[in-house]
Amino acid sequence: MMDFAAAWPALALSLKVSLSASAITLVLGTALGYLLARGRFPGRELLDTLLTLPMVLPPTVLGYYLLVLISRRSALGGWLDSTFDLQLVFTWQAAVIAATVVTLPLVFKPARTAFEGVDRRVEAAAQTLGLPDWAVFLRVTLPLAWPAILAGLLLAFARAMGEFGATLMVAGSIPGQTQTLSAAIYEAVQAGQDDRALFLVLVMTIVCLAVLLAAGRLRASASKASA
Amino acid sequence: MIEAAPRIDIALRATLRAGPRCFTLDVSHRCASDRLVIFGPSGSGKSLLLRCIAGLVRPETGHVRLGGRTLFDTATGIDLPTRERRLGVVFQDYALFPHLDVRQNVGFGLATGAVNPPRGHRDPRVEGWLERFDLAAQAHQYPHQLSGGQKQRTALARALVGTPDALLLDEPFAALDPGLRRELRQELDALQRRLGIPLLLVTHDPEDAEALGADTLQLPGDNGEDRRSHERRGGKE
Repeated sequence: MMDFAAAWPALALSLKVSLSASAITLVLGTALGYLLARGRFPGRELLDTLLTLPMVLPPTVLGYYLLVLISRRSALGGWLDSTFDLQLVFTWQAAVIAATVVTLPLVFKPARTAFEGVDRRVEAAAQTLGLPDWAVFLRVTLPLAWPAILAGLLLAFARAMGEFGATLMVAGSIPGQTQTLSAAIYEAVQAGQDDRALFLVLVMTIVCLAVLLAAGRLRASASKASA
Repeated sequence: MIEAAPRIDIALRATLRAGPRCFTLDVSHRCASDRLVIFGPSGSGKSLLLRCIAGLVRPETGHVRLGGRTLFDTATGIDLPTRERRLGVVFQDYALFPHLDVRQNVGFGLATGAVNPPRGHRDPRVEGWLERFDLAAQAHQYPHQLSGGQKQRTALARALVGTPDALLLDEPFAALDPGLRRELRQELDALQRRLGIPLLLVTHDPEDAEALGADTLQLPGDNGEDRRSHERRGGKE
């Protein structure tokens, strides 16, 4: 059990990064999904495509873009540094940003589809019953889209746990500070610590398996409810 | 002789555009009766008219007055939002909330604020309508578990529970078999008599008008340029 104590900092960091990224992705992905489903503005499909790009781009390309964006020499990074004394590169917060960008499509895509599938007459019925628009959204639109959003969120969490390439580029792999579980596995293999690598791999597999099983159950109950 | 104040007074013009097609609805009706059956072939704009009255579509010009209350009038700039029109609307296919059970559906409009009525929450007003419409045994069931008649009664109860100032029904009997249709017409007849609120019913079945002894507003059929859209929508209505 000596192994587990050694694995804990990396696992804890992975959980912290994944939970933070999932929370941001949930709010941002739901809002974007709604905007893309209901908004009528030029460049809507372009926005959808741009936000989907991180899913297909090589992690190194994404990591490069993020480095350029948040490094102290960039406009945004320079502003954060001079205004808030905030340096993001090689921090766990940078890992959260990378995980958020990668997982966003897993939530906003199904959210968009789900919002597009909500029957507008059901929303109209809620209006005739005296509800203001924001209440219609909270009591009808969102609950009807929720199962799809939640299933996407669980996938996003699992994907965030497995995030490696972009995270390594923007956050590095500092043990106890920015070394996530996936980075720790890489380091263990590189250092020839086969026992440690195997243990970390098993931990990661079990966590992701549990999340995927939960996502599958959610999707099944969602399709049953909409039948 | 003094003319009685009109209970139903509608005059409006609305245009619906869908790509290259264009449909214009132009109607005017005023009657002292509390019951109006809006009657017309498929694609004559019956549902559009109902949506205008409910405030879901904004007409270009005209006015809507029900039971002496002005809901919309371009002359005076009145345009109440849907939520303030206090109309009980029964939609075609009922538009029940699929994520809520029958009791929650009926009580939906009574709960103000951000949260739906919780499952199993009993409000005497809701229980009264469930009882009256013979839905008590289905109170905990979801819309997809209901028969056509049960859905229809749930939609009607949901529309009535908040004591609306007028009742709008869009083809409420279309999906029902003839026996049930007759029964529900009688139920509606008795209901209107008891509540004394204006009742507007959209239908393509002449028997509905006869059975309810109502004033009828006949919408014209095809008028040239929108022929194609009529044919396209023909199967749906």
